[in-house]
Amino acid sequence: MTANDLASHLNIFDGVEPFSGYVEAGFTVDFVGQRTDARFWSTRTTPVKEIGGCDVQTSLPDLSSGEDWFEYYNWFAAAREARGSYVMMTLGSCFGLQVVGSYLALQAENPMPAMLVAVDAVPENMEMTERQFRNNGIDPDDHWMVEAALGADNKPILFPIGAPGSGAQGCTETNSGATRMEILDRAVRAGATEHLAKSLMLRNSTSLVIDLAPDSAHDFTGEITFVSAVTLKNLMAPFPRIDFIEADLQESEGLVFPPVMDLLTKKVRRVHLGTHSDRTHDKLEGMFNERGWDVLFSYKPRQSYQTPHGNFDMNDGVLTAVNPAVAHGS
Amino acid sequence: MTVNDFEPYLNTFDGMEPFSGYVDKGFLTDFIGQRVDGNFRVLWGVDPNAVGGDEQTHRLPELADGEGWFEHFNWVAAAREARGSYTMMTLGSCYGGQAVGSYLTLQAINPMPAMLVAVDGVPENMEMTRQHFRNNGLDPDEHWMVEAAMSGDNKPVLFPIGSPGSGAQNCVDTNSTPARMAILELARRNNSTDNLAENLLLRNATDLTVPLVPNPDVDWTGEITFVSAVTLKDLLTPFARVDYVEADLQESERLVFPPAMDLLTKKVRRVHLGTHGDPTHDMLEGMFRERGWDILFSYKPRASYQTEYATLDMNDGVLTAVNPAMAYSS
Repeated sequence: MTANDLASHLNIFDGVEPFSGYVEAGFTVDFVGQRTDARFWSTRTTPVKEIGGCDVQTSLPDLSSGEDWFEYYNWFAAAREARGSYVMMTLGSCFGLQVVGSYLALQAENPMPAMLVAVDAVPENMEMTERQFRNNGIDPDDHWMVEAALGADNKPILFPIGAPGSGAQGCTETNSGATRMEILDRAVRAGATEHLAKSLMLRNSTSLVIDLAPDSAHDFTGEITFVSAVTLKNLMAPFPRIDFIEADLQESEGLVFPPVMDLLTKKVRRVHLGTHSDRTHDKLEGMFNERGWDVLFSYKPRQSYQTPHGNFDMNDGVLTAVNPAVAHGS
Repeated sequence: MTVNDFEPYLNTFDGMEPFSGYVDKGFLTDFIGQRVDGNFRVLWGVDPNAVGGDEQTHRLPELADGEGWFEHFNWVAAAREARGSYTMMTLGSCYGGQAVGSYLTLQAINPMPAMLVAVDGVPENMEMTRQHFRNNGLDPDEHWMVEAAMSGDNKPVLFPIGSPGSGAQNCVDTNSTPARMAILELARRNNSTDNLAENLLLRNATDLTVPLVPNPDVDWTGEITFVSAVTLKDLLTPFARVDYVEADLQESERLVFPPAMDLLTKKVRRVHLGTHGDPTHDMLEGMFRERGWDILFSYKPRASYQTEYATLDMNDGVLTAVNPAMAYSS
């Protein structure tokens, strides 16, 4: 299968009727009718009181929307392939947009019981995810909400807690040995080791707040804090088959996926990754290819792409892979 | 239903043939034929060089065995009730004796596919559990192995890591706020807050080793270390039904079970708890009763009981509860 053969996939939304109707004040809506509390959009510039409270006509996704189109594509491709029941995981849930969108696409296209798994280390993100579920008619208690960071093993991770809704947190830097040494050195130089020890002992936290988006105008900060870690193996173990895993882990994908590639190949039909560096993108694409996955889309991060079907700018990269070994028989 | 009425259960083991046969050098066995590496039992006085390598004949469990009888009873009762597939959880797995014993009993009297879930905060215990699975013909990768401490929420806990195989660890004492304050105060008095901060940052550990049991003749210790935490809700959510939850959490049961009682009642057929304090025993028994569970057995810890059939000397208490709401119709 040729990667990035967009022509074969552009009809994915044929027959889908984009949402049209009244949207309550303070809410946004997308083309599958997913209602999102406007306060969840951390980069919002329009005042909440000016959002919603009117009739809205949405449109079907367009390739020019870049990353979003690939996410929406996978919502529908995964939904159409499902048989009998559906398991979907969102790793780095943020406020749950991907998981609820996938669910609504499933119920619109191919309705069936579903188990949704949402994982995020930021407590406020998990609270928002639960509210996003409720705001869209889904009981979060019927699904698996995991407040933890994704790691390569189960050792607690130093993770930046803050900026809920930004989706800007990752632990590759904050949990590295080098960063741990740096935090310690900084405390030693400042004569603040007792304060550091107290903060760690009483709050699981370093008290150190860092900028999560130093190259942007956004004021996204996080306090480096010990959080529990969960592995992708932990998450997959209870399920015989998983229809769709979506992950946006701010480069932690390079830690989380490699140890479980064989288990992924045994159980998972579809993976859609946001990627955050060329090196990790290439490594993961290679690992999927080696195991016989079909890489449908592979666009590296922070580039603009010109295609015969439209141009798009990517911030995160996208890597969509489907696993022929776990295809349902037709 | 009358609590501690043994009469209906004295025939539980009728028809079962206790294990008889050759036992490999260095191994122990039990009545169901579970092979236990003698190295796993060194802390309990077993010399691996002095066991196995001979023919052995076991007897069926007897009530005078105390705690062991109640555990074995639940292996058999849970196995007999199962239909179609079987899910069993062992919380505080130690080396996996309860999970593997339950599985072997199931396969002996009512064979069917099973999902075993084993949870322990001590890495060496999870390694032993995996090895124990393999030693008894189970592939641990087909089951769910969780290296984490059980807790009431997902925040990392300070947990004593050490003395694998002892089964003596919990986080009730080591993770409490007073314990955290005491560790910090100890470091201050010893002018070692630098060392505490360094160990926490670089090793996730306090460098403080504590005795795990009050008996000065028993040299079981653990280093107080941050470990990831998992809740009972996390474990139950992926499953529609759980046949049997066994827990021996050294008093952490009072943190772990109360937040999950309603979900337990919705999903779980049988719970067998080792209990470690009278107030917790009473609290949990009351919570099961309030939700309509039948209490089969309730003996508080550290007491001797005269029954019509045997004298029971209990170290841990036992609390066996079955949930009529999850009974299969016959």
